[in-house]
Amino acid sequence: MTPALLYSLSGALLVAIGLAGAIASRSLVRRILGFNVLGSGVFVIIIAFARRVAGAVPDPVSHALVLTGIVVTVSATAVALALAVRLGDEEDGRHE
Amino acid sequence: MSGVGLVDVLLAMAVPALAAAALLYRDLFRATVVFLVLGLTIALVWVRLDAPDIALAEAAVGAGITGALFMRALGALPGPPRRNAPAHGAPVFWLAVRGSAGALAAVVALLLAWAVSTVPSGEPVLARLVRDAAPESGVGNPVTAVLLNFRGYDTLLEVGVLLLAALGVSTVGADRHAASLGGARVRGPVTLAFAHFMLPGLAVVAAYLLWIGADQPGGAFQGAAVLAGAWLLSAFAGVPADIPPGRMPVILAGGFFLFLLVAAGMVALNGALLCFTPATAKWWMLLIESGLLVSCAAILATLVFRLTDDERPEAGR
Repeated sequence: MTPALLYSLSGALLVAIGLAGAIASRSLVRRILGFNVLGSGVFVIIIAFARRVAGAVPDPVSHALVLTGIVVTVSATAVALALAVRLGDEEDGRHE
Repeated sequence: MSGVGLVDVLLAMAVPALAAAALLYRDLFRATVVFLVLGLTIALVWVRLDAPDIALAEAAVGAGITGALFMRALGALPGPPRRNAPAHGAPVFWLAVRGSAGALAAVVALLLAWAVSTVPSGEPVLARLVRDAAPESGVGNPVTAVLLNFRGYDTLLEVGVLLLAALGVSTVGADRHAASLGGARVRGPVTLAFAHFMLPGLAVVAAYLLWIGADQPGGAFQGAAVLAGAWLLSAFAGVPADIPPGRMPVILAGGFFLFLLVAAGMVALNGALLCFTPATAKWWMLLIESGLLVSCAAILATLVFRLTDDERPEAGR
């Protein structure tokens, strides 16, 4: 087993855990947490692929792709959390 | 790194375990803290996979800013779920959802495991193209070359996404312009002294990351995250940045429009969008990155500041 394969499998598990969390959680915040875990899993798989040729320089295109992905994930997370907070507030208002 | 070390095995097991813990904790605050630890652990994975640029980005953006966002959202939400709150749907419904989600996740995990273990080896075509064209990029760090030269278009649109997110958060989040953390502020001489001590250093680190990004791991986004962290720290210490509200949109959008201007200028100079000549490429990229450093730091800080109203957490508790 190579490190690339080991981490790819770890990433595959992350994707599965994140997916389950995103679907099965009741709390919106926890769902967003799940989506973040899912995204991290995808990133781990991509970067593990980028260095699957032992000894060679890792693929910089994948690295740039994941760097962009991390920044976009933060943007999406912020908007999702803002919406979740707003929704939570409105639910709260309804119960009062 | 040639073979699998003990560190790799431990990291590869710790990452899914932490993820599962983050999603299973009932208390969302604990879940968020575990999620932060997960982010930092993944940063170690990036180091082991020879991706130091991403390790820096993950530690600063992925764990740092995302963690701040979750903490701020939790602070604004009404406390732990009320025991007698009306549940959405019957318990049987949620049991079915959990069961099918688990089954789906198991299938996805197996499919992915099969896919990753049957990938043919050999150097990716794009990696070879980048290596062959590297001398023309003007920078020594291939990741920076891809980000700002070969695939500058992607990065331009990425900054556009950041700007849209800032706009979206400002629209649904806080109603006020205040760049302060209000209820989350930690007053006191220690925080203030710490901020005074740290702020100049963080500003230098951000600028250093930007400059070194041309040849070593680093870059505008990592620098921006550090700068945004400095901004948040000063707000925590009760020293809000003294920026007039009218100036803020210029700072937020400046990086994007500077990037766009350079991109358009290259059409006039070299005949194609974002087409640099090897001799001047480095300086154009540095100009773009300087704009991005300030704008992205402001955007990341805005995402945290304006996620919710300052007044709400106080009223909600």
